[in-house]
Amino acid sequence: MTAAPATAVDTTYREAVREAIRDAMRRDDRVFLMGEDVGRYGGCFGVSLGLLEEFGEERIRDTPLSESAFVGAGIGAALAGMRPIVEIMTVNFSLLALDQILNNAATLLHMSGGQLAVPLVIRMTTGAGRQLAAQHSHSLEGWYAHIPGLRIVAPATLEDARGMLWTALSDPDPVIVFEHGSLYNARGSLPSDAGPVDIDHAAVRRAGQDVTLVTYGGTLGTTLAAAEELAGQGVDAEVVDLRTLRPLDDAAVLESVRRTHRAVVVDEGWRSGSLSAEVSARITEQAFYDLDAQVERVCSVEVPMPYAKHLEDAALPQVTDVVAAARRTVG
Amino acid sequence: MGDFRMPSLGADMDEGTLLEWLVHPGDPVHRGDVVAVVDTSKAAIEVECFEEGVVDDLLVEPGTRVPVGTPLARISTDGAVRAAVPPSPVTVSVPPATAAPPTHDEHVTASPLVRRLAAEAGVDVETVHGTGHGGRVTRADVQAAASAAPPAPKLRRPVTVPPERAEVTERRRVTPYARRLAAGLGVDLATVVPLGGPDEPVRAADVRAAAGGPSTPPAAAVDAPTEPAPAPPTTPPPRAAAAAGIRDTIARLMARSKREIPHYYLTQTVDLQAALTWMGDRNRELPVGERLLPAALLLRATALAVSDVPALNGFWVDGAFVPASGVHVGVAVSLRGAGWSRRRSTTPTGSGWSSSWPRSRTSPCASGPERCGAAS
Amino acid sequence: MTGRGLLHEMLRVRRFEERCVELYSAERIRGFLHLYIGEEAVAVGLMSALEPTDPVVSTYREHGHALARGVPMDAVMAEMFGRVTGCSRGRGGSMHLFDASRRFYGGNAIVAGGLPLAVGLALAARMQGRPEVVACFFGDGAVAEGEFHECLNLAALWRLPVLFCCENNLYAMGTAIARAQAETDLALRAASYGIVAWPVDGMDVLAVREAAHRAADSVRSGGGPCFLEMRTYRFRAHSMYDPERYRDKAEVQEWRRRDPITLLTDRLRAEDSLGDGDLDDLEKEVATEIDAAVAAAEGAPLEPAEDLTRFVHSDPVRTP
Repeated sequence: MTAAPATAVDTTYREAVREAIRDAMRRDDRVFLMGEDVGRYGGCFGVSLGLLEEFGEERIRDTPLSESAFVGAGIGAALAGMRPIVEIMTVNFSLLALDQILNNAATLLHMSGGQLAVPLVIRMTTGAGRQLAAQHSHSLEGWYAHIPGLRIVAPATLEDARGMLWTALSDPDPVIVFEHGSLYNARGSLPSDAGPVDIDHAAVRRAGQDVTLVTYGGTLGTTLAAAEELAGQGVDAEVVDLRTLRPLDDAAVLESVRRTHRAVVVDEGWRSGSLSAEVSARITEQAFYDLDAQVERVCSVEVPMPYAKHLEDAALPQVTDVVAAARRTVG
Repeated sequence: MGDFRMPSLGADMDEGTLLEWLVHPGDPVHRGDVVAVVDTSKAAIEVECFEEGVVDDLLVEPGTRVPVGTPLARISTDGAVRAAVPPSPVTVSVPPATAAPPTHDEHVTASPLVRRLAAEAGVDVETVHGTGHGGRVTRADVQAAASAAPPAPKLRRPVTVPPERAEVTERRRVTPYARRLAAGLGVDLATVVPLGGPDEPVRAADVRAAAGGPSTPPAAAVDAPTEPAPAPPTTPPPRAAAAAGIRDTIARLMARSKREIPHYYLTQTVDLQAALTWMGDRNRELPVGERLLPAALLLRATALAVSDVPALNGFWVDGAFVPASGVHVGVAVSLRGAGWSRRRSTTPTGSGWSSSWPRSRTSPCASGPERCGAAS
Repeated sequence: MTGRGLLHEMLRVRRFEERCVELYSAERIRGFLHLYIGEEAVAVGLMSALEPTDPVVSTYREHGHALARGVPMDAVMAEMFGRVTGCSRGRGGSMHLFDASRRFYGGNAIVAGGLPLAVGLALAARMQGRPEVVACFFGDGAVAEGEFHECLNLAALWRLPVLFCCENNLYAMGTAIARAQAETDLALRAASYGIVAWPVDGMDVLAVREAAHRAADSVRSGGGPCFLEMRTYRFRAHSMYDPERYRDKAEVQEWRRRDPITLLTDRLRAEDSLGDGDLDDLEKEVATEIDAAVAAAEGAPLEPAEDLTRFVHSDPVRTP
C-alpha cells in the first residue's frame, strides 16, 4: 500500500480483476491461480495476462480440460492449507465440476462435523450479450445460490471487481465469484489505493422513493439506464445491487421496499425457479403488508440463448422491459 | 436364552414376511449362520442370527408378515452370552416451536382472503385472536371464531367448500399495504374508488385520497446513500520439428541391409490363440511395464526355430557356409517422438525377453499390439 | 507392524463390522451400511506402509480404512449411532467418517468423487515442500467415471505424490466388472497415463504391505503417482438391502477360502509366530474394545437440534 495520496486511475473491469489477483498473490504466498489457459494464453478473457511472467508456473497453473479434476484439486489444496483461486472459463463449463462444488466444497465442513473447512475461491464468467449462443451464455448463478455452504458474489462495478477477491480469499469457506462477460471491457476510474470491499451487504446504486429495482451483476447497467428513463417520466426509482447472491442481504432489500412499497427484480437468469423468484418470495414473505403493488420480475425469456443478435437481444432483459415493469407497479 | 428377531435390512423397512425357515428346532446355530429367508417387499434376503446355541422354538410360521423386531425364534444358549440388543428406537428430543412474536402493529393483521372470509362469516376480524406468524389472523382462526359464535342469521358458507375457489371474481383487489393503511386510517374500503379506473386495484394512494390525507406517506423518509453507477459496458471483449536426421539414417541403413544381405521369405500359418491366451493370463499378473507384446512371442519362436534348424543361421564366408555360434535376433522399435531403440537377444532359451523389453513409459508399443507396426 | 499386529487390525475391522450388522438388524444404526468384510487386508496392509502425516482419501465403504488409519473405534461407532461424540458429530454416518487430526479426509459417497481431493492434497504437499504420500482409495466402479481419468491424467502430468489404491472387488454394486468395463485390466488403464501400475493380491496382507511400501517409497521419492490394483473380494452384500442376485454363492465360497484373516493366521502359525492361545487373546481384546465402543455410543449425547445449521459455514472468524 502506498502512502501517497490516492489519485483516480482510469482502468477497466478486466484490469481491476487482474489487479485483485496480483494483489492477493503478493499478499499471501498460499494463493495461487489455476485453470484452463490462465498462464501462457493469459486467460480466455485476458484477465490473467502477464501474471505468469510475474509469478511463474507454480503459482499460475495451466490445467488440462478437466473441470472436475482441477476444481476438486483446488478443494484438496484448500483443505491442506493453500488458498487457491480456481478459474472456470464459463458457468456452462462449471457444470462439469458441479459434483466437486456441491458434494465436496459446499458439503465437507458440515458433513465432517466442522473439521474440514474449504477456503477456496472459484471465479467464473457468466451471462450473455456477446453472441456466444447457448453453451457459453447462461446465467446459472441462481443455481449456485441455492446451495448452503457456498457464498456467491457478483461484482458489478470496478470497485467490486477490484475489491471482492481478497475478501473472498479471506473467507474460511468456499466463495464463487461470478464475473459477467459483458463487463470486462467496462471502463471507469478507481482510486489508486482501491482495496478490499465487504461481501456481506447489498448496495444502493441509485436512491429513489417510488419503486425499488433489485438487480446484480450484468443487469446493473441496464437497470440504472431504466431508472434514468423512469426519472424522465416522473418515477423516482431506487436501484439496489445485491452484490452477494448468497447469503442474500434481505435487510437492505426490505428496507428499500418498505419505503417505496414497490419492487421490480431484474435478473438475467430464467424466471422459473430463479434467484428473482427467491428475492420476490422474500419480499412477499417479509414485507407483504408494505406492498402497494404486485412484485414484478424482468428475466430472460426461457429459451437456450440464441446466437443471432436480434434474437439474443429479444431474449435478454432490456431497458424498456424494466421501465414497463416499473410502470406497472406504480399504477 | 436369546431371540432371533425380524431384522431391519434397510432404512425404509418396517416389517417383513418370513418366507422360509432354514433351521429346525434342535439344530445348533452359530453367530453369522443364515437361518431364514425374509421377504422385505423388495426382495427375498437370507438373514443370519447373532447367537450361538440351539434352536429351541420357531415362533412364526412361514408366510407371516411381522414388524421389525418381532421375535421369530427362541435360541437356547449355553453359558455366558451377550444379551440380545432390544429394539429400542433412538429418541430425539425436539424442542418446542418458539412462541410467535407479538404482533408489531396496533391493529390486527390479516390477509385479504381472511378478511373476506371473516366478513362472510359475520366475524369481526379485529376481535379475533391471531395464531399465525407474527400474530396474524389465519383462516383457521376465523373459522374457529365463527363456530364459537352463536349461529348468525345469515347462512354461513359450509366449510367443505374450498373458499378460495369460490366466487373469486367478487373480490375487490386491494393491495396489502392499502388494506393496512385503510384499517389504520379508518377508511371503509367499500367506499374507495381506484383513481386509475375501476379495473385497477385499490392502492395506498386511493386510500389516502379517500381519507383526505396527504398523498405521500409522512414517514417515508428517503435517506439512502448514493454511489456512482458503473460505466455501462461498451464493446464485447476480444478472444483471443523434427527428427529428420534419425529418419534419414534409418532409411539409409534399411536400404543398405536390403542391398547387401540376402533376403528370403517363408510363409506358414500358425494359430496363435493358445499363445495369446497364455500371454494374456501372464500379463495380468505383471506390472504393466513388464508385460509382453505378441511380437515378443513371434521373436522367441523365430529364435527357437533357428536353433532347431542351424542351417538357417550362419554366414557365407569365403565360399563356404559357417554356422553362427549363437542366435542373434534383432528388433528395432520406433519410439514416437523419441527416436528408436534396438533390442537383441543372444539367448533364445533364456528368460530375458520381458526384462529387456522397452518400458511402457518410453515405448508406445506396450500400450497395445496394434501400435507395434513400426517394429521391424 | 508385526504379523500379529496386522492380524489384530484385520480382526478389529472384521468384528466391528459384524457387530454393525447386528446393530443394524436391530435398528440401532441406520442409513446405508456398506461392509468391507473380505477386503480387510487392503486397508490394513496399505495403512501399515504410510506415515501418520500422509493424507488418506476414502470411499463410502470406509469403516476399515478409518479404523486401520487409527480413527478411534469409539468415535466411529458413535458416528454410526449418530451421536455428537461421533467422528463427524453425527452429521456423516457410515459413509462419511472424518478425522482431520489423523488426516483422514473421509468417506466420499460419490464414486470417484474423492480422487480430485487427493490430487489437490498432493498438489498442496508439493507446493509446501512436504514429503507426503496421499493415499487415495476407490473401487473398480470408479474406473468407469470421468473423474478417474481426469485425475490420473492430472496427477501424472504434474507428477504429484498420489498413491492410487484401486480396490477391485469385481463388482460395482451389482454389476460385474466385465459387464461395465471394456478393458477389465485396470492396471493397464492406469498405465496408459504413464503411471507405474501393478496388480496385487489383495487377499494377502503381506503382499499388500510389500507393494504399498514399494509404491509409497517411489511416490515419496518424487517418482510421481503409483497405481495399485488390489484384487480383492467383498464377502458380504453390497449393503444390507441386497439379495445378491448378481453373483453365485459358489463364487463367494471360492473367495472365502482365501479369507485374508485365515490366510494370515495360517501363515503365522506355520512359522510359529502365533501360539495356540494368541488368537483367542486377540479376539477377546477386540471384543472388549467393541463392547466398550457400543456402550460409549449408546450412552453418548446427541447433537442439540439447535446446532443443526452449525458448520454450514465456519464460525464467523475472519482469517487471515
